[in-house]
Amino acid sequence: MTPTLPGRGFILERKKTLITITLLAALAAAVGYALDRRIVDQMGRTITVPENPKRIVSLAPNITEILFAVGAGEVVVGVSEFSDYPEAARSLPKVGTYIKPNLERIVELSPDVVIATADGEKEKEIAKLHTLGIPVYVINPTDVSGIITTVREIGKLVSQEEKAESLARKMEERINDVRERVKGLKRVRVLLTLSVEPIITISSGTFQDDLIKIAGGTNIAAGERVRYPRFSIEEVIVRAPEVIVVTTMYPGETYRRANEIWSRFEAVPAVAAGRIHVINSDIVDRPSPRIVDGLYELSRLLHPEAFPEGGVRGDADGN
Amino acid sequence: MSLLEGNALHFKYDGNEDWVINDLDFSADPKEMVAVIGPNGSGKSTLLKLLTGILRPQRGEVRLRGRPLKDYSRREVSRNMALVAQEGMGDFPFTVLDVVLMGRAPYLKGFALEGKGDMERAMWAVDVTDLAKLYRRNIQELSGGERQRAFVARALAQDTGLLFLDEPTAFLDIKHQISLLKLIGELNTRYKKTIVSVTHDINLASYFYDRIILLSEGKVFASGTPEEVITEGNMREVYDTEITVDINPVFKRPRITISGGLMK
Amino acid sequence: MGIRGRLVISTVILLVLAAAVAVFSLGVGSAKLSFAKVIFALLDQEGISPEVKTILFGLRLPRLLMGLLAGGALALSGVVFQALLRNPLADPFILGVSSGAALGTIAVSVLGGTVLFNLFGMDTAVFVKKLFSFVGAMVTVYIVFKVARVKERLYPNTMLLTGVIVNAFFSAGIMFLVSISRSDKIHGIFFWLMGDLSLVSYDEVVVVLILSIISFIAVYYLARPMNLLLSGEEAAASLGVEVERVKLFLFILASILTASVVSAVGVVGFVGLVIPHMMRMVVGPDHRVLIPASFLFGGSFLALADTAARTVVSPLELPVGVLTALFGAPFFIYLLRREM
Repeated sequence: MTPTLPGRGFILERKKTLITITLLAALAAAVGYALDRRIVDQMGRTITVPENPKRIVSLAPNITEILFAVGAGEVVVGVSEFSDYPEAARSLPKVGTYIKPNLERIVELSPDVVIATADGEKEKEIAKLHTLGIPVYVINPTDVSGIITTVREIGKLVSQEEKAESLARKMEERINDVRERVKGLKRVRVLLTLSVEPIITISSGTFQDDLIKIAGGTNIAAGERVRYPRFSIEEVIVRAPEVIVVTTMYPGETYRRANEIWSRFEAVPAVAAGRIHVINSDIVDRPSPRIVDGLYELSRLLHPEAFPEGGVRGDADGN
Repeated sequence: MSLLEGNALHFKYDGNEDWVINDLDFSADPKEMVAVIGPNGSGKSTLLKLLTGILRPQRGEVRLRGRPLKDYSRREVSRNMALVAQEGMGDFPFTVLDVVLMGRAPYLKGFALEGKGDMERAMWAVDVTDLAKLYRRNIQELSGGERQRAFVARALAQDTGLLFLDEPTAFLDIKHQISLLKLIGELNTRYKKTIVSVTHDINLASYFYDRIILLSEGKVFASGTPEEVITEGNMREVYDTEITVDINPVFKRPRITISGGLMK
Repeated sequence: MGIRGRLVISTVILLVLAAAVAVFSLGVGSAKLSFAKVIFALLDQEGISPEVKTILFGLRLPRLLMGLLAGGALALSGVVFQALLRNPLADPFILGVSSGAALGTIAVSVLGGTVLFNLFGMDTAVFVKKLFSFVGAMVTVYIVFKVARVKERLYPNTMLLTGVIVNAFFSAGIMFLVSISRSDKIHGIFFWLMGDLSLVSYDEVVVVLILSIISFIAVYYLARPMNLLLSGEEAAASLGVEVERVKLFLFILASILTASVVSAVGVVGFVGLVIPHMMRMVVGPDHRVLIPASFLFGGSFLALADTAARTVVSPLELPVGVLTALFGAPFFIYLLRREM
């Protein structure tokens, strides 16, 4: 090939490349534009998100867990404080708390979509993000099947439908397993409390209540008008739970305290029978894939006879 | 027609059963010096407030230059009548000059600031009330008497034809009592102001005022010259005390001495 | 120094201060922007990256503007209430506006909350909450008005007492609602009870701006009568002030102004009480100088406190009421000691 001087020839050669590149870029942009989807979140809001979000911010620990579990962990660029599971999430940039997201941090991360929960009174933050052009997908699972639906929906949102579907199926299988095991067994009266003192329990409409139902128990606080009723010891004595479960982040300490405080109340069947237990709140209070682990734990505590193999931990997080 | 008239005035305070002012007639002519005396509760201070429009009578009316007082705006009233009364300046640190300048308020509307003329008037008032050394001081720091003089100065800055004073000599020492009385006299003779004072001091009223009005239980008991009003009979009836009345040799006016039961 | 002099000098100095606070606040935060960068960005919007643009114009600027305006409005209300009630301990919330507003918004949260959100979407939910907080505030104002107004006269002492009682009653109502609510709502309420400028929209800024301008002009027009009112109502009347009209007007105006600010940003304490005092110590009690000085300094103060609230424990945020108290109290004590 005759060497040509840089100049017209130079540009001519590259002209083709330039054109190709420009065309490709235009095509990509067009495709990208066309691939923006309109999606409806769990609060009925319609938002526009790109087909394959590359930068996702999670505003709650359970959302972080779900994202990692459906294989989207790599595209998560920011999480709320206390997003401590899985391990990889701990090193991600923090964008404030679940109650008070830090909008500046979120904006700095340039997310394609932000995922948030409906509770925690965040309407204003969500509205503000909306005016800043950042779409927010809001989830609101209220029972266990709602959590599974959320897994599927988030899977769809982050274009990981397959993984999400397989995770969802696994979760459903394990839930059915528990249902089978406790079928026909007499329901056990349960007090599930979020703290030792004061006793704060959960009423119907919470997923902890749903867990209890599936696990073959009866929630002694079901039907209360207030979602998180505070019970006096007297009230507990009257309702006579057979098992008391405390959800906590500090199992050892809480177990000691619970026994210390309640041991005098022999009138409560659970105390008399020594059936005061603690459960890690991460697997019971968090609507994430690990809720199934929580379900297993809970059923085992309620119906030990149905779980001769002892504690079972599945790979609920898809790993 | 008098300068200021009150006709058949009746007044009682909200929530009270009794009339404080009970069918009272009043008049003041230009350049008169009138003193209003009477026992506690006879309605003296209330009368001043009715005459200056601060309170409204339930019955009867007050007329200024023949027109009912309620036909005037507050501003117009305050350009005609100034009142010096007992009051505090609370917890707010205004200077004496600030307070005196407030007297110019009836002449300043809205956003307007005081002008040179206002300043001159205020400084004149400061001067005649002997506050020239104090006018930059904080009013909270002044003694009761000095504060009193500041309020007089404010009323003077108001530049009104009528001046009402409620117990003006109450907190003053002798020196300042005299100078205030002298000032009031000058305001009347030189500046032609009509003066109406409420006072407890029957003798001072007698020596310095042309006309005395003696109130009792919300009504005018007697009205006239000091000789006509300050009699042993009137004093006994109204004040329910033994009082001796003679003529003060210096002022040549009636003088009371309270004798009732005090002689040893 | 004459009043004109004091007015001009104080206004100029405080305007400069406000400008400095503004530029500083815009530059500080998660994304640090230098002084120069801020000025450039304000003048030429094209030359900066979209994230910076969003942060600056979408988040920090409305917040700053609201801080300046709300601070000014609260200080202005404080000046008015102190004159109206003839009491240097008065502040804009003394007549119960804050607890009424809080009760209004909390009632909506607790009793309506997610229902609203579900039925009508987010923006409506937020709007309804703010509306009810305004309504709640005006209810307390109405109660105080009804109780303390007898035969066309407004009695300041009765107003004070009624305000105290209304505050107590409504606060009990708030505690009641909080105790029967879902526990996770408490955080949001808590933030609102201590002030929160973080989510203001430009719409709200405009509303508060308009109200502030109108209020400022109206109150300034009444500056002299306010001076006179401090001598006592009778003295003021004898100096030509239509006392009852002025009192009623000031009461309604300051109440509406306070209610609006509280609906927008929650209860920010301290500003309305302390700023007028600080300014009185510096420029004197004459309202013709005090009013603009308090407005300007109140604005700078709140804007600065808000900037601190969002930066000192970043990425977490403190309620701005905490900062106003932390800044304000020691500074005020320092000034007080210097006076003595």
